[in-house]
Amino acid sequence: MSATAPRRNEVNQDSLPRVRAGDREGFRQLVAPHEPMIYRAAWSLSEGQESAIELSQQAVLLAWRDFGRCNSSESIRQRLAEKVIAAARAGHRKSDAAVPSEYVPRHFEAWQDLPEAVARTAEFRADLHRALTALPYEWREAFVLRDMLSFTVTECAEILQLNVELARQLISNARLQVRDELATATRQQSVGGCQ
Amino acid sequence: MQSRCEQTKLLLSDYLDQMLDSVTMYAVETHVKSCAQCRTVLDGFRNVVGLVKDERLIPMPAGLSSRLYSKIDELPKKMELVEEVPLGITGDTVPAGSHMIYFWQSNAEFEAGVQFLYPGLGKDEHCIIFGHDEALEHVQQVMSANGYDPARLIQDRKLTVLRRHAPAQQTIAEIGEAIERALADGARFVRFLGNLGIGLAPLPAGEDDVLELEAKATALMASLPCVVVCMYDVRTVPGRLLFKGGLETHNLSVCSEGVKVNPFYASAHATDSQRVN
Repeated sequence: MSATAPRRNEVNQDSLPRVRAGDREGFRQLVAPHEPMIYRAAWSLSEGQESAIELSQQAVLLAWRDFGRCNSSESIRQRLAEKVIAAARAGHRKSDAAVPSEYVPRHFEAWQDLPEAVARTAEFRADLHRALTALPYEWREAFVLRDMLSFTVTECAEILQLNVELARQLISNARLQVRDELATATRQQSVGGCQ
Repeated sequence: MQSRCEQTKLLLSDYLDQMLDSVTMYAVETHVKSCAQCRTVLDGFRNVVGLVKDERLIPMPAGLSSRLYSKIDELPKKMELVEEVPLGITGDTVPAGSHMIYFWQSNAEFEAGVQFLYPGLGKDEHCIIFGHDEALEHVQQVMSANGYDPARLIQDRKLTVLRRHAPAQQTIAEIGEAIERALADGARFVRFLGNLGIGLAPLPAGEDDVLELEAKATALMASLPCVVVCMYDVRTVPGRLLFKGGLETHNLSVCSEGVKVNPFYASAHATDSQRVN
């Protein structure tokens, strides 16, 4: 695994007034360690690379405009993730389809672990993106925050403005469906539904 | 009655996140050891979650780092942080983050209040109107009479109409989302016109809920590129709400002589920067 991004990058007390006063360079320095996270979130919530780039830029703009609300005790990483979610929602057309309350997983004879090397192939990326796209949007947001960006369940709930119980349920449903979608893509041997 | 597998399936995600109490953790662990079906679900979870958290899975395109800030770089220097805007109702300018009270009782006063929307409407600002159905209809009628086309503005994403239908917690989330959406759409500034009156429908969750909403709105708007005017219909709003909501939760009041610092505003966080010269 690669080195993880900074978990909490509290806003430096000294830089806060400077950035609030319009110091773009100071803002860039605060955001820079989180750029890969912003792009990963944007990629996971959009339709392709170009729209992910656009979404990343939009999220950064939102964060800049809203920087006055950021206080010294909160995580800029979480604040940036909130902006990606907000920007993605702004461009997302809600489906009329009812969101199911739970997901019934398929059963497999045994799970054949996919090796790490496979995960870095373009083919797996495409499979993952298809799996994410197949999720109900609320489940997709929860999965991206929890499993792709490693926010805690409580942080996910805060970012999505949900209670923790609901966030847990969305994460669980999403994990089950993503597992099934990737299993199909990677040809796991299915033997029907879970009992 | 759920089978053991069904019960376990619902807990596997929390088990993976170690969010269960020790007894339930043990029960899940024990079941998974003896149940191949649940074990394959858990194995799949572990494998998939382990893979997708790898940061190398989705690398940033080359050169994106410098392009990421392009929308900020496009902003004219003076435009990026809006500090004051014209109020529209009087000749005053007011600071961003202001939460103002405007009491009205005549139609002329109502129409004057709606003028708050006009300075940037259809240009680089976004307006949100909020309240009970009758007030929202009235605001749009006034706008139409003054040459604006509310339907077109809504279609062009320059105007949002938010109905008062839910308790404070949900309402504040809806307001926050509407503001985020407006800013994401490129609005430079957001004007929020709230309407409090007693219409045909009752208050969604009672008087105290209105007070909660006002307090939350003050906190939400404090540092946003946004100004809020709350129009209170003194003909229908109960006295307690006029005082506790109208006077105690708004830092500025709009009077016929202009904008005044509201001496009844009950906030420990009021600062000089929120005061109007």
